[in-house]
Amino acid sequence: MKTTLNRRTFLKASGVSLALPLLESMNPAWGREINQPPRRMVFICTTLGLHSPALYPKTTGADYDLTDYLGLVKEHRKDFTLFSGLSHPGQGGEHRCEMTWLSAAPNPGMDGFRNSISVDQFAAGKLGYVTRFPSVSLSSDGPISQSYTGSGVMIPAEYRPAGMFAKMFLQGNREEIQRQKQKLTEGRSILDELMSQTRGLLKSATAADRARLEEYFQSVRTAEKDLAEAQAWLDRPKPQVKQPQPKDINDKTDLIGRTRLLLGLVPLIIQTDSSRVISIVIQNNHGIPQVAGVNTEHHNLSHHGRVPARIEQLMKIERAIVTCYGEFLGQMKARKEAGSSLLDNTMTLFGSNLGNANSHNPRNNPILLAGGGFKHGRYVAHDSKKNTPLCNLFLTMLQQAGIESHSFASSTGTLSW
Amino acid sequence: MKTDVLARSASEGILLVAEFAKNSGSCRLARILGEFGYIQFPRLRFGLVPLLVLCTSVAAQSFAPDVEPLIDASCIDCHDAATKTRLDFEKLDHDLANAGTFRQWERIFDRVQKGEMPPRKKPRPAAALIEKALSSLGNDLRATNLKQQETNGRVPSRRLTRLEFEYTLQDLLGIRGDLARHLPPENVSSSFDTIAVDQGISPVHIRSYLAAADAALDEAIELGPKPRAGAREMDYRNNRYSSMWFERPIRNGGMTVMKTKDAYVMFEFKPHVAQSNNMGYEPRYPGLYRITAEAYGYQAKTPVTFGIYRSSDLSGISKLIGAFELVPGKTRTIELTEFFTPTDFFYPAALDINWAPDGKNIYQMRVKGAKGYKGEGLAIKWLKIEGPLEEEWPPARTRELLHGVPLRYLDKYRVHWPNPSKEPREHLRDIIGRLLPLAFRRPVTPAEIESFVSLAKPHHPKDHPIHKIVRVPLRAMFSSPQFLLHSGNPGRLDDHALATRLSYFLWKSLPDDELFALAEEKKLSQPEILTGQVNRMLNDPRSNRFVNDFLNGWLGLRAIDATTPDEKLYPEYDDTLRQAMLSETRLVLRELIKRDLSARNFIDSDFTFLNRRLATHYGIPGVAGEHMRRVSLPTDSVRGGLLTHASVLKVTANGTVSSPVKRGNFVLSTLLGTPPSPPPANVDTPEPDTRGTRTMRELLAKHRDVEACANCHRHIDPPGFALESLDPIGGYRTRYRTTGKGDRTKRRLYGRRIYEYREGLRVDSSGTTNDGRKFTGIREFKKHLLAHDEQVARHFISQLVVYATGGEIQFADREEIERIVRETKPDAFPVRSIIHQVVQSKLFRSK
Repeated sequence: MKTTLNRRTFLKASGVSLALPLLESMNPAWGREINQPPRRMVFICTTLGLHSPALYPKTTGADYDLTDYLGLVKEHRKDFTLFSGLSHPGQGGEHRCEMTWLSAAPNPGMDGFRNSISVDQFAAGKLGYVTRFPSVSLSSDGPISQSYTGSGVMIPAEYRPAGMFAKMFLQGNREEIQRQKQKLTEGRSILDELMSQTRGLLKSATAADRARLEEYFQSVRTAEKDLAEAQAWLDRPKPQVKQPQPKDINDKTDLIGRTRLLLGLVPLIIQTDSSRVISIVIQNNHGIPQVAGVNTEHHNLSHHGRVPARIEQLMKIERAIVTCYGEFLGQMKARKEAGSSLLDNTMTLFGSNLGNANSHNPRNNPILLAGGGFKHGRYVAHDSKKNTPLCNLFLTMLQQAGIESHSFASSTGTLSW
Repeated sequence: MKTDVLARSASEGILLVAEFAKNSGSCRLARILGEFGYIQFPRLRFGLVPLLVLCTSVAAQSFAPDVEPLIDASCIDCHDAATKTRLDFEKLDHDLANAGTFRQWERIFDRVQKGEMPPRKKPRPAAALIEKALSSLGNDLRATNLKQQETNGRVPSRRLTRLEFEYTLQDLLGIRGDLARHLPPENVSSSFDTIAVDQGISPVHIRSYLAAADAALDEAIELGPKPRAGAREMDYRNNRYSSMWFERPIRNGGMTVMKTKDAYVMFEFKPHVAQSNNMGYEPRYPGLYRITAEAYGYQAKTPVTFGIYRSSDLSGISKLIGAFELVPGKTRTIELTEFFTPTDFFYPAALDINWAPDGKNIYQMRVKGAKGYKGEGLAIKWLKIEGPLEEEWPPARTRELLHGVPLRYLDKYRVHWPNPSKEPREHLRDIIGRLLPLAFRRPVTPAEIESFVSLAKPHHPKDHPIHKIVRVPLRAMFSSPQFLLHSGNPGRLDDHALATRLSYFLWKSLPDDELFALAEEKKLSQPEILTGQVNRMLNDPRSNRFVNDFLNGWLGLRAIDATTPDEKLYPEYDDTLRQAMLSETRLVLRELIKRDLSARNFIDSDFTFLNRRLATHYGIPGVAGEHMRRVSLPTDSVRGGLLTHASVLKVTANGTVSSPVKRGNFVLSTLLGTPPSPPPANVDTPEPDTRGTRTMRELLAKHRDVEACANCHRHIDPPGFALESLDPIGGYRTRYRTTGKGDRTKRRLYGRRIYEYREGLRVDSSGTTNDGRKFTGIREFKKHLLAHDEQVARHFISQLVVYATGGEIQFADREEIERIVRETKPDAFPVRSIIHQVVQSKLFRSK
């Protein structure tokens, strides 16, 4: 028998709507509808690639030799799998493949191009409003995210960790909540009116048209329910966490500091079950990143032209990013829920849309997958000439998250390793 | 015994295909199979009960006694309870009111009428027996079908497609933004988006309509400060960002651009360097912007193309908005007008540029970079952007929407604000009272207006101004069933419903004032007035929307980007060629409409539309410049007719190889309207081989030896073979290109040798048609096909009816289609006349 006290039941019973800190006895936050911790997905993209000679070992399998970058995350060796030979087919257009890394839409940047749904939004759509935020998109640079809706419209990223923290965990000022509620109320009153008008039309419709109107009516009713659910979240108190609200780093050249702040939000989001799907973009478009020994822009260095001194600088930046990732895995492992670690229940994909930024090569993406209940610890190499669709890995992750789907974008199957 | 086994496995195969079609949501396939009696297509999925089921009171069926003698004599031996086929006459009843039973009898009618049944090997029944059965069965099928059309209408109310939703709001609100992107994609397996039974409405649609209406209103209501007049120059030569790349080493992505004393010069397709947002320019308001520039081909010996792209990370699109040909030695001033929104940016691109005479490209200039390079480039002397192009501010669209609400400028907040001259509710009534009849495409009652006005309650004390509270009723209006669904009662359409059907047919949008007024006066239904309106509408540029959308569905041109030509095999494919391909087909149909030319031009034609890029692709000399114009084709040209359009050849191939089966199927299904039966499942389709060892034709040879395949492939393969001399991007070929063994090609690309592919096996485009006519290639094949012009015209007419009415051709519709065929035949099926005939037909004028 399940004895943990449901937080919301508790609140309802106590009849108060005060926000309470997350107490151990009330863990887990996801207790509302399931007994097991849910599977979450985190996608992290460093958009200028990772210098592959510093990443990939010479030998595959479990006893691979540590490389420069893998040495930085060696304490997590058993918790992740390194992949090579994965990419999306039909990519190109310099850096335009950034926007298709999660969607796999072909020909970015060319005439007639249109983006398609990204894997995080696909998953969020299937999961619905089980959490306050169906998905979260973060970026270290600006509002550019890799999350796209089914119609190819970008969902802007949150790039101010303090703002994201406030949305998640602070009750917010009254006016703001009021404004959000108003928008939802408007939506609901529109849908109410549409339902009543449709009822009127149904009275005089012919049999054939009645079927169409019924279909419309049911759709409006479901859409209204969705809005009601979103609105219900506004009335539920937000979870409280012990950490103070982070202070934004406004200097965009502090790439590593900004990345660390963003990644630091993820364990909080997951542990409070505020969202189960998170995508994060790590990039710094203009300016010299503050990394010791670096005096040139990141993008400029990624076009290293095989000059050793430039590669060394590039690797300094990339080492710092990989180290951030390692610290993040450490935090995810340290936090527990229902006898397992957050990492055990969270698939975290870390990689890049570029296999070689020096030549804008979108093939052979560097990919690390940690956690999420998969068997890890190996280096799995796919054909570097004839890449395996990265969507095969996406599909594998979707299925692991319990999302029923037989394909995603360019997938040709699932991956096992 | 052997045939039994074969028959069973074939039928199981088809069941599998059917199952697959149902599961994969491939409606078109499922529908085809359904029509063949293989499956009962579950239309309930769309919440649309098959009409026939609903029709309960049908006249007693009289055909039974007339068909039984034929069944007993020729059918029952195979089609009894022990049958291996899907047809069992012992089980099949005569209740035509049942949709499934109706389809079975319709199918029986067709197969007997075409002489496919009884099979050729069996003895022929007496002609009188067949005639009597067919006439009686035909009469009853027609009567049943007509009866239910009278009760329910031929088609259920269809909803606006996403494209129609966009055009309607654009025309209604005077905006131009991309709204379709907010809506879920249409069912891609359907030929036309307008087909009612394939259209779904889901909660996602509803949420999307609300979001799209919001976006439309954001653009429509513009109250910000007046934009500064004048143009902004992109100073590429001195801008901090672009000039950063002049000196940067080539291995770091620089030195492929440079400045001369009068111009900024670029040598490759490199968006970001001259991207407008990197120049610090962002469009402030959504609207039309004019880009002007002066440019010339740098070191050019051949024409260089100056391309301009519009792109946006937020909306995830990119588009070639202009391509201008620069003749060597001449400076050219170009101008284009394009819609931009604040998140858009644009960039110039150098296209069609030749490498240096020594065979080097810019990247090989490791030391000197652009400065030492001898290849062609694009030199931009200056480039300016101006906009939004509005004659007044706030823009006319905003004033029109806020019908009569005075506006004043609040200096302190730098914004225009409503300054009501009467009760806000009165203003709301004015605004909604003007828009509602337009949006609903019919007169509305005061009660209807009031039901929307009453939605405009201020929910928040700070949100009182009219332009904010009016959004709620307007969003409701644009998401309402009256707006989204075509209305109309069974029987003859009233004048307003006719105006709606007509304007959505030819303009994909709501009726304009003139159509609305004619409907109001009940004059539109008069045949001569209707003819006048069709002419007016076809002469209006909005009819381009019909041409483009119809071709997207009919010929499948919407799939132009479904595959990307292999960059090794077809390195010459680029965005300018892509655009010219699509333009050719659209302009040809426009020309047939404009000059009322024969539908025989679909099969073969002595003219087409070309610009230099496409003419070069086709190997036709003497066409210069980027603009598409009508060109008379040389008598020995393979071109002319839809089948030789690069657009059609591209969508019937997969980017690497062309398949005679796919193209043959296109000729049978899309041009002739006689689709072959779907293939049985579990057959291996030949795997293309571009190593250059065997042709698709050789790989297909085994079809001819297997009886089960040969039956259909006798029809499918010959047209496909005839098209073998045309490659996947529509170029003419005598040898297949290969990345394996072959000869060096003599062709050149960008002024250099072609190293990407080699010339492989020879093409054989000869064959024999199913009716025994020999051909050596596409030109002779087209001559044979001209004998089938009536069938091509019949299918074209049917497709127009399907597209315009949103309903597939039913049994009872055949008479009307045949009448149009008959009446347009003496003039060889002129296309504009066909459109007039369709609009005047019973099918178009009834629900």
